[in-house]
Amino acid sequence: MNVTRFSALTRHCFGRFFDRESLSPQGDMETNVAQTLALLAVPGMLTALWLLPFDVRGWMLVGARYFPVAYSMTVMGFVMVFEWDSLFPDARDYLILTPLPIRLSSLFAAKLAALAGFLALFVLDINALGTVLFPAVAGGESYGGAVLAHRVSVGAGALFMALSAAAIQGVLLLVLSGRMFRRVSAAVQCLLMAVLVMTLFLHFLVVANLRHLVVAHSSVLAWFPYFWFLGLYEWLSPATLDAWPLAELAPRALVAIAIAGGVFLLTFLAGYRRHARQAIAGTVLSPAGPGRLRAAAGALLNRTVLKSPLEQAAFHFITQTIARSLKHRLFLATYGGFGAALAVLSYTSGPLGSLTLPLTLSFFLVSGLRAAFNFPSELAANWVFQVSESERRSEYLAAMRKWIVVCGILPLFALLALVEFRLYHWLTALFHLSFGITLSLVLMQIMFFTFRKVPFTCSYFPGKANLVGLSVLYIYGFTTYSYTMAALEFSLARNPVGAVAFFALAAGVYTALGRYRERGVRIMNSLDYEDAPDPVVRTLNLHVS
Amino acid sequence: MLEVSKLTKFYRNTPVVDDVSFAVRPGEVTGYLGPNGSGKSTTVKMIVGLIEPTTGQVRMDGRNVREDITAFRRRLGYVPEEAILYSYLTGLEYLQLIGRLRCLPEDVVEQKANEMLSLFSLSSYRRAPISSYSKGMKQRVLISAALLHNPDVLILDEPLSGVDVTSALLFKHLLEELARGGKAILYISHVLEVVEKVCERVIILYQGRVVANDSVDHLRDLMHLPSLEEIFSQMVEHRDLESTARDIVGVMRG
Repeated sequence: MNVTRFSALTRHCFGRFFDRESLSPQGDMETNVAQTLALLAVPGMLTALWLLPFDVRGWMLVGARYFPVAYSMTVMGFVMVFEWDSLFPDARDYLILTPLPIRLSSLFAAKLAALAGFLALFVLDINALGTVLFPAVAGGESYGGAVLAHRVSVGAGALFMALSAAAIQGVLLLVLSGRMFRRVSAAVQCLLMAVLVMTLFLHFLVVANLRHLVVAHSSVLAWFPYFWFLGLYEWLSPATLDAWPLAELAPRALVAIAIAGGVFLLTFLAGYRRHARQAIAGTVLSPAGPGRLRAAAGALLNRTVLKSPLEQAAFHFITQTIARSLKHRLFLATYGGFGAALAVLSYTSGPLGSLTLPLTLSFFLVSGLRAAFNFPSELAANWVFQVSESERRSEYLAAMRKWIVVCGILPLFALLALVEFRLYHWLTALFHLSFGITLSLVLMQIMFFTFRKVPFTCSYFPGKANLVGLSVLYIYGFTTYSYTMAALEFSLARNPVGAVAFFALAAGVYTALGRYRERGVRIMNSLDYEDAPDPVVRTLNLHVS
Repeated sequence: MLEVSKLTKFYRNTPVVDDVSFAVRPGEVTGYLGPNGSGKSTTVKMIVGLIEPTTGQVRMDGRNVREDITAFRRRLGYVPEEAILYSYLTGLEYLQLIGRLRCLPEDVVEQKANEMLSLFSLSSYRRAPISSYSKGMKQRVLISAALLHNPDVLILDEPLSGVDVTSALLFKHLLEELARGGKAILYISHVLEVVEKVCERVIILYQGRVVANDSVDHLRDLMHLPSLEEIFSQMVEHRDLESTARDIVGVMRG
């Protein structure tokens, strides 16, 4: 094949990795690349710089080394999850490129070369500064040897994550039919995202217990891939002989790479033509429609919960968007992973752990939905809501709250109920659940107090938010909601009069907030469809008096 | 009657629509023509309230629609220029959404949505996501959605874009039937043969201004030209198209 053409094709495939709506709706590729790479290079460097002045050795060094290994692997995991749909060329690639005189094998080779380049770029970027600085943290060793050990272990960890993600997709592609593949693949992508986010926050817990886990020869070490590559690091450059059980995991790391690589190559090659056929053929038209159970549930909701056509419209629109918009599901998976990690940390934090867990989960559920509803889905199609908007605007918003309760809060507490009724006396469990649901409802009223739009139909400018202020508000809100309220629940459990007063007060707050919000909605001329953008020129609000 | 009065829209000091006035009467199909970029779709977006006019008014039965835009929209059916729909919904789900947003009762929504899809030959695709539809199929969904609530006024911006011959013929008859039923229809199109056949009046827009507003027959007599295509060409196209075509082939051959 012509080298110039192959190079152009490879560049095109490489660019497509960054040309993604989930990364930037504006699709400014060069800015995306520069910003992403710059951001990812910083943590490795900062951690090394922070550790440099200390005398880091022994178990402290093992713990310190855990960070670059875990960071490299986690970032690569995120990269692969974000690029999940770009591992193979998509329908647009095929439709544009196949009419040109290009063979499928050439496209395959270019895609593979671009993928290799893309992954190499990330591995080099996230570890570039850390590779130079981190080995210096462990003073006294041979610097060259330390650099080599660092580079090999973080690189191998990243390679394992990349190959594993690609191999999972390859296997799914080979095993499942086209329609099933799309469904399962999207679910796996969201699951991976949630797991990655969760592990990201649990690393702190891991580092704190690393020595204990190693000394006790915990079976966790054998099942948690991050330890295999930390073991590889220890094997290449031991920090302490006590950590030898970790070094013994090094062969596992190498075998894991070999297996992931082998599966990836086999499935990628075999699945390529199949994927091309599916992508070109497009979505298979199915006359089946929703299953009986789903149809019955929809009809039941329409008869009982959703009283007006407007409520039905908004409610079902939210369900359909959440169920089919990958961007929103990934976002919610991220929130879910974060919430699950904090819930685990809360649970293990002390005697009130079992009380904070449901509250932590409900906080992340409600706040996650609030954030997800802000992101538009197919914004240009929102004209249909604009041209058909009714003056009964509160019904759109009522439908949204009903969705949060029916599809969010109640299922969460139904799951928790299974555990609660197993662990506690039924009366205690009932009190826990009632307390959690009541607080969740009040939280929903507070968080959605100023929300005046049909979810997913309004433009959104994320840069406008005051991140520092918002973070403080969220941290304060979260700690008050989860920890202070858990303590309150603990005291109310032994004070029936207080408990009754609490429920009465919560009902009062819920009703008052609802009424106050309704007054605001009644005087609105229209729901929000356009978020006010950041001004191009910021004034200092100076006036001449 | 829908009246547009002295409608003007400026973008960065440039008038895109300039002092446009016309009326769309019940029982009439009014054609709204103009070359690309002449301001047709901007006019339509101002009428339906998607963008604000710089000056001018839109009146429905003598009342400024801005005074109660919701009431006006209840009487309006709109097919936009581009088939922008929620592509992850199925055709049936999209019509259900529209029916509910139009406050139709659930049983009516179900019945009308299914019947519309069947009459527009989309029955077998009703459970498939719109993303898998062809351009013509999307247009048919949009037309169905615009008719679902039996509106008094229909604004159809290029409704036949990508539609096959059979559907186009069906649509022509549908327009005539709707007009007979007393609907006021504003029909924007580049397909002048259809406009000539179904429209009582045509408004021709050029560079944001109305250059003709009359019946097709009267325009033919006035300009001594046999077809709407030639009238349109004379009013808005000042190039020698045959010579331009020759130039393009010349460039192509190098």
